[in-house]
Amino acid sequence: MTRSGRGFALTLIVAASLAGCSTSGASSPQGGGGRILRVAYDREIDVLNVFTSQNLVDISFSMVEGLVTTNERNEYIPVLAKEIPTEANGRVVRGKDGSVRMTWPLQENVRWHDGLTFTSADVCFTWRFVTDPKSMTYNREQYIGIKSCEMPDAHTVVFVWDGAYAYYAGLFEGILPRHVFLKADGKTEMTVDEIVNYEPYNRGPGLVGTGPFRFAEWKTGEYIRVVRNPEYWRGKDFPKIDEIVWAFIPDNNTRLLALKSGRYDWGRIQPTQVSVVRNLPASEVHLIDANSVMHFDLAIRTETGRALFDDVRVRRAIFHAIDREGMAKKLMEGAVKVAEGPINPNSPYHNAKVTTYPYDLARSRRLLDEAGWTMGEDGVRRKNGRRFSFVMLNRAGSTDRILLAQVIQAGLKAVGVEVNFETLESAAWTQRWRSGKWEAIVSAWFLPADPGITGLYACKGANNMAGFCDPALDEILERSDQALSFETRMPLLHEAQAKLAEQARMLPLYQNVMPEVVTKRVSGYRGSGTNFGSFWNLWQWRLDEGWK
Amino acid sequence: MRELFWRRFARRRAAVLSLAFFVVIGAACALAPVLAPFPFDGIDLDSVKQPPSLSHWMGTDDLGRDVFTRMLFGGRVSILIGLLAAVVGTFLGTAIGAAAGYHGGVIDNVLMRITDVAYAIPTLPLLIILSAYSRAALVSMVLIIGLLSWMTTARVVRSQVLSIKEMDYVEAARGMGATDLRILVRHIVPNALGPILVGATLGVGNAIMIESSLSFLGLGVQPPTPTWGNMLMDSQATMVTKPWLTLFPGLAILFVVLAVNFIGDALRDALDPSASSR
Amino acid sequence: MGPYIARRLLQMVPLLAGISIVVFTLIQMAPGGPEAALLSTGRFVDPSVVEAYRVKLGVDQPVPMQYLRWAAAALTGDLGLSYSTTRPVVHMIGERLPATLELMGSAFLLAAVLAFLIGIASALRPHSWIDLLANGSAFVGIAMPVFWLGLLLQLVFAVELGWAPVSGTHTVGTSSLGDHLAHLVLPAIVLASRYVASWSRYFRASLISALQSDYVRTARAQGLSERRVLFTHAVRNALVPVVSAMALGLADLVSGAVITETVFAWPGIGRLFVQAMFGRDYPVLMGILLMGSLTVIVFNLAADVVYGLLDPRIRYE
Repeated sequence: MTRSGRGFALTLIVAASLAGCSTSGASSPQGGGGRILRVAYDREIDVLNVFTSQNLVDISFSMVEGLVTTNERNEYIPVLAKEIPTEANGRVVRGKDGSVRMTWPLQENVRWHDGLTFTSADVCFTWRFVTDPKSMTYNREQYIGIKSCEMPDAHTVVFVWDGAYAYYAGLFEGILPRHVFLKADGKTEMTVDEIVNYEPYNRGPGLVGTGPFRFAEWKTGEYIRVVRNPEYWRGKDFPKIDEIVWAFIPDNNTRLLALKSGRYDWGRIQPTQVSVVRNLPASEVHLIDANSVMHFDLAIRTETGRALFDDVRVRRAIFHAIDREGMAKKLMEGAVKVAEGPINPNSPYHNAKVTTYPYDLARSRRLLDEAGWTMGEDGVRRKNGRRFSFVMLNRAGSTDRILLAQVIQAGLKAVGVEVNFETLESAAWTQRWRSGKWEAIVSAWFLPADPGITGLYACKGANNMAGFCDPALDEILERSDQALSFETRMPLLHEAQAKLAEQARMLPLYQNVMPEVVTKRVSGYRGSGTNFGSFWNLWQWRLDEGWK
Repeated sequence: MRELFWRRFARRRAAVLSLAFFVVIGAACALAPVLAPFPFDGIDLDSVKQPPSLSHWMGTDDLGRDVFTRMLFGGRVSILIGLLAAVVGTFLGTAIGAAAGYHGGVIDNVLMRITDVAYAIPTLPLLIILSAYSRAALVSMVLIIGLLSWMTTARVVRSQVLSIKEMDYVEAARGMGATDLRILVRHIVPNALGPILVGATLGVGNAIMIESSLSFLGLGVQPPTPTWGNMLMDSQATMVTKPWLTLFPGLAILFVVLAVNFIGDALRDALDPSASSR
Repeated sequence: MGPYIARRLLQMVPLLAGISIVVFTLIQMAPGGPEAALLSTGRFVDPSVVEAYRVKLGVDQPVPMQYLRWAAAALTGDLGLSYSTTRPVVHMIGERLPATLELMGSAFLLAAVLAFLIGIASALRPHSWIDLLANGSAFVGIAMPVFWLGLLLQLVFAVELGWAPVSGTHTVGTSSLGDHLAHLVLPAIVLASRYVASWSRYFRASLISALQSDYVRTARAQGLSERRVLFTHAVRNALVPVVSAMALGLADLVSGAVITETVFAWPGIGRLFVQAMFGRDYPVLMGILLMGSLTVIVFNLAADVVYGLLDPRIRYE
C-alpha cells in the first residue's frame, strides 16, 4: 500500500513543527533495559496532575507519590509519610477549642526525580494548591477543614484542622514539587492558574515526582511511556521493571483482542468478557471488586416522584419486584455479586448483616395493595385517579445499565407498575441527573477507600440527588464523619447501612467488578478496586523472563 | 408501456430474486405479531445468551429474549424507516440538485452554498440537540434522517444535469416551447435517473444505519422495542463473545441493502428511455 | 475559470463566518456542559467545584458574548485552550491531523482504485456474474458496520493468524516503516470499504449511461477502437458525478474515520472529536468543526473545478 502523497507531506511538515515542543525540556527518554511492562489502557488521560485531572490518575501514580495510597484491602497505607497519624500513636491531638492537630512524619531520604530533596515545604505547597478554589481539585471540600500547615522541620508536617474529620487519612494522594512551580526568579511561586495550565508538568516532560518511574514519552492518542527511576528512595533494588508503556485502547472489543493476541501484560475488560480470556495459557483474570455499586435510585424531587415514592412501602414493593440474582448470575454471567449496601464488602466498614430486598413478586403485590394502589383494567395500578407510571432516565451508550433498566421494567410490569424510558446522551444525562429532575435511574459511583457516605444520603448531602431526608440518619452520619478511629466510626457506619436498607433509600443491584487480565510473567501485582487503581505498588512488580 | 417495463425488469434475474426476497421479508415483518413464536419483550433470565437452537432459531439475547422474534419486529421499523427516509432524502436532493444545475447562475450558487453549509454542519451535536427537544416518533425520525442525507444526491444530480441540459434533445424541447418544469421532469430527471437511483438505493442502507445511531443517542426507538439498527448497536459490546447477536441483524441489513440495490439497478434499466434492448 | 474560482474563494469568508455562528450556537445549545467531563469517572465532585469550573471557563456567560470573545481570538489564529487538557487547541489538532490524513489518504487511494476497477468491470458487462460479484462484495463493505468489519479483520489477521497487529500505529520502541505499514493495513482497508461501494455504484451507473450515449455511438461508428472509446470518451464523462461523491467523501475528514480510529486505537482527529463532544470541550469542538467545514468547502470547490476540466460543456458564469 502506498501512502497518500499529500498526507505524507503534511505529516512531515506538522511533525517537524511539533518536534520542537515535544522534546523541549523533556527528561531525555533513557532507554530502559529489556523488562518492559505493556499495559492495554482503556482511555487517554487529560493531564498528569493528579489534582486537576478529570480522569482516574493511576498512570500518574507510577511517577507521583503522595502521603498515602490504598492497598488491595481498601486500606490507606503510608507512602511518603512514615506512618498515618492516629490517636493511638499519639500523632492526633484534639485541642480544647475543638481543633485537631495531626502530625505527619515524612520519609527522610526521598529525592525528586531531578535530585532535590522532598521536604515538608512541598506538602504545604500542595495543601495551598488544592485548597485554592481556582485549582478545581475535585474533592477540595475535603481539604478545607485544614486551617494551617506547619513545618516544625524539613521532614515533619502538622495539619491543624478546625474539627475532627474521619476521612483525613485518605487525602494527599499526590505531592506537587514546589521547586518546579517557581517563576523565573526561582523564589516566587506560580499562581494557581499558572500551575493548572503548566504544560510541561501536565504533559510530562516537566513532571517531577518521587515515584519508582520517570516520565519518558507521551505520544498523543497512542501511549505514555515511563522508565525506571534508578535513584528510587526505597533502594537500588526497586523498581524491578525497566519500562512501562500504557497504550490507549478505548474500544472494549479491541482491548479484549489486544489482550488475547498476547502483546500486553495487563488490561481491564468488561465482566461479560471474562469467559473469553479465562483459559488463555499465558495470563490470568483477576476479578477486582470495585468501590462501585450499581444501584437503582428512586427520587422524590419531582411532583410525580413524591406522589409515587414517598411511601416506604411502595419503595419496598418496587425493590421486591427486581430480580437481582438474575441480573448478577445471568445477565452479568456470574462475574458480579448481588450487593446489599453502598460500601464494598472488601472494606472493613462493610456491614455484612444487612440484607435488603429479595425478589418476591407476591410480597411486592401485597405491599402495593396495602399502600392503596389497586390494579386497574389496563394492568397498571391506580390510586386517587393517578396511574402508577413513571419515567426512567437512561444514559445513551451505557448498554449494561439499559439492560438492567429493562429487567426492572419487566419486573415492575408484572406487579402493575408502568415504566417508560427516556434516553439522553451522556453529558445531557449528567446535567439532568444532577438537577434532580427525574424519577428513577440506574447508576454507580466510583468511591474512594474512605467509607464516608454522608454526601450521598444526608438531607443536605452534596450528591443526594434523590432528595430523601431523615434527620436521624443525618445525626448518625455526622457523628461517623467526626470519628477519628476505626473503633468508633465502624459501628456508626454499620448503623447507617442498616437504616439505609430499612428505609429502602435505593436498591443496590450488584457490586461492580473490574476484571483485570494479567500475564503470568507479572508477579507482585495486587489489584485494588479503589479509585486510586491497581498500580499502587508498581515498585514491587516483577517481570519473570521465563514466560515469554 | 407497462408491459415493456415488466419485461425489461423480469430479464434481470438478480432483481427478480431480490424483489421476491424483499416481499417475503417485508411480509414476514408485517405479520410479526402472528408469526413470531415469542413476545418481543419476553425477558427470561433463565435462558439468556443462548446460541441458535431448535427452540430459538437465532438464539437469545442478553435478557433471554428470542432473537428471531425480535428480528421480525425489528424489521418493521427498520425497513419502513429505510425506505421512507431514502425517498425523502432523494426527493429533496434531486429537487435541489436539478434546480441548481438547470437554472445555474445565482440560484445555483445559493443552493449549492446552502448544500455546503448543510454538509458542513456537524451531525452529532445536531442530533444531541434534537434529542433534547423531540420525542421519538416515526415521522420525525424519517424527516431527520431525510434532512441529514440529501446533500450527496443534490451535488451528484446537479453535476449530471449540468451536462444533460446542453444535450440536443433538451435544446429541441426548449425550442418547442416546453416549460422549465416540464423539461426538468420529462427530459432531464429521467436521464439523470442512474445516479439518482444509486443515491436512493444507497440511502436505504444508510438510513437503517443512521436509525441505529439515533436510537443510540436516545432519539430513536426506545427499548424494549427492537429495530435491526439498535439490535446491532446493542450487541456491539458482546460481538466477540456472542457473535450471533450481531450476525443476524447485520446480515438482515446487508441483504436488504443488496436487494434494494439490485432492484434499483433493474428499475433504472427498465425506466431508462434510451436503454438499448440488449 | 479564474474569476470563477476567485469569486468562490471570496464567498468562503461569509460562508465560514455563518457556519461558525451556527456551529457555535449548536454546540452550546446541546444539553449538558463541560462539567460532564469532571463527573464522568463517578468520583464524588463537590457541587461548588462544578459551579466554579463553569465560571472559570466562562460558560456561564451569554452565548453571543462567548462567541464574540472566541471569534476575536480566532481571527488572530488563537483557537483557545482545551478545557480538559488545558493545552492550545491548535497544538492538539496539529498533533492528530497527520494520523487522520494518513489513514484517510491511504483508504481514499485504495477505495478509488478498487472503485474504478469494479466500476469498469461491471459497466462493461452489466448483469454478468462479474458485475454481481463485484457489486455484492462492494455492498458487503457498505452494509457491514465499521466496527464489525474492523473486529472481524482483527480477529482473523491479528489474533488468529498473527500477521498484523491489533491496534496502534507502531510497536513501541521500533520505528521501521514496515512495522508502521503493518499497523496501517487493516484500518485502511476498513475505512476504504465505506467508500468503495458507493463510488463504484456511481461510477458504474454513469459509465453505463455514457456507453449508451450518442457520442459514444458516434465514436464507435467512426471506427475507434473499443479501448479508445472507453477511456477517452466514456470514462471521462462518467467520472463527473463520481468526482462529486469522492469530494464529499474526502471532505468527511472528521466524522468519516471516527469509528475506524476508535476500533484501531488510531490517534486521529475523529477520536479527539468524539471525546470533545461527550466532554463538551467547546474550544476543541469549535476548532475541529471549523477545520472540517473549511475542508468541506474547499473540496466542493475543487470538485466543481474538476467538473469543468472533465466536461468542457459545463460553463462557469
